[in-house]
Amino acid sequence: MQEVEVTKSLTSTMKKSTWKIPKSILYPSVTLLIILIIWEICGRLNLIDPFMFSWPSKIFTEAVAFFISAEVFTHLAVSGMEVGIGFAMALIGIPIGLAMGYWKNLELAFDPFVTALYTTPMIALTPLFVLWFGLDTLSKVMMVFALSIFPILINTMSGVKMTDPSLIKAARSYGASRGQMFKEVILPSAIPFIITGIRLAIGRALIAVVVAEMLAGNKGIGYAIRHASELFQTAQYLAYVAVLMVLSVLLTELLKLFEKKIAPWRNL
Amino acid sequence: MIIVKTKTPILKFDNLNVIYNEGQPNQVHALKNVSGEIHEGEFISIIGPSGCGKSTLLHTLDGLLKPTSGTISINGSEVHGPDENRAMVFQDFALMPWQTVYDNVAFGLRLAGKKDKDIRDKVLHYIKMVGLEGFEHKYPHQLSGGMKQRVGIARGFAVEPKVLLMDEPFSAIDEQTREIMQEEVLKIMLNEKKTVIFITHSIDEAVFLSSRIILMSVRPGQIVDEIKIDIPYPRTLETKALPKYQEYKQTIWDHLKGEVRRQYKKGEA
Repeated sequence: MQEVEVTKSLTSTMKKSTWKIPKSILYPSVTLLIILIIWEICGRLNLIDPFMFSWPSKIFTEAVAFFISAEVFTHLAVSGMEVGIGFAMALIGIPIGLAMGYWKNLELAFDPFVTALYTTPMIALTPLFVLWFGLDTLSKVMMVFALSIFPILINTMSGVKMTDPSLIKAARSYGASRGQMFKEVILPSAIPFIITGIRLAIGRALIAVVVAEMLAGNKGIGYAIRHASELFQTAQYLAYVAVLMVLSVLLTELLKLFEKKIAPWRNL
Repeated sequence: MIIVKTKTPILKFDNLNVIYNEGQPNQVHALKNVSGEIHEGEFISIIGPSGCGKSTLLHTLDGLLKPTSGTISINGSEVHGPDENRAMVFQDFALMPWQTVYDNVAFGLRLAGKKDKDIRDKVLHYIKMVGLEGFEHKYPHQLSGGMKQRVGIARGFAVEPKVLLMDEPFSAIDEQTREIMQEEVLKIMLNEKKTVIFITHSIDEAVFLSSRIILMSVRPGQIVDEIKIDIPYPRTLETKALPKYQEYKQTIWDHLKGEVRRQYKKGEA
């Protein structure tokens, strides 16, 4: 313990003498800044055709415009609701995955189909979903659900199966019943896998909602992107893409915080 | 010692046979007609060449493994699976990574359905016993190997078993820490007057800790000899310098050498 404290105080004195911002934030920020500057210079030197592409200051101006007009918020609200409902439904993959990981026969019966559905580019089903569930919210919700349930289900299942056998042995030795085994050993050991599944599912959910909105709809970020591109408003179009990018990074970071909260034993 | 002998044994096992994959071509006869009696307060080490079935024997005694034939009884009543009379300390610690030191030590008591407020004092007592005071809220990944096994030992003690089963508990711990742990375990055993069955492949460890050593043969595992270690407790690291201590080590080593040679001839080592 003494050693640990010595190294702690050492690093803190080192920090004071050099940088206050941690490297994990500083380094990528510098990289990003350099890329943006070069990109911007290329734009200002007329190396970029504004019809084909755009550059940071133009994109930023467009973003400011749709934030001021609050247009972006109406689109975000619609897309957010669709993702929210579809994703909440997809969480049913957790209990299904737990069951399939626990009962070998269930896995044998359903695993090939789950794998097939997971690996199929289900985004190709969007037109069919529009046909079934209409041009409105429901078709998007169902697309989000269909794309995000499988990574959650599959990861939950492998989490259960990856439970360390020596922990199961220990629990058995200390007299765990079936239910206790599940609650005390299997579920907690599957949690990191469930979180990974959710992280993968977030990416797929965003793809689903954007593609579905692009294909059919008159609201939402996907629609806004399509609309801007049809009018050759390339800068505005890229500004919406940037909003999506920021959103998915935020969601992922939020999930990391959540994971730290519910799985503090993991060395993140 | 004579008084102890006349008492009924705390743990008795009779004609244990364990056969894996019985009736199949890959059948393995792991234990053959293993019988023995363990008395209260004894520190028994089981030693033998690798693959001799010592771990199998311990798992069977715990109830994790059902013997193919034979019986185990504790204080006269027959054993059918794990129960609160025996607790196990594992070679790979087997601590729940998502539980703090406190929760890991409380593990067995919680499984037995006891409320946290009822077990608190007991859990803290055993954490203190293994010298982990102040580490109650740490997670296993924040501890060294030696500290992890202290948690494992405290978890075993916390359920207050009649017999503590230890499956090569120090083999994953570095040499220096191991010697310290051996001394501490002895101290704790004397204080708590616990009966212990200890699996090891280290002759030195077996002689240092045990009141009696059970020697096992190569597969199929059988008990081939028992050696009483007549060195009074408490033992310290100075005990290891006694001529008697060295003699015991030599005797056991000679015996094991023969067994390992036999294993070589069978082409298994």
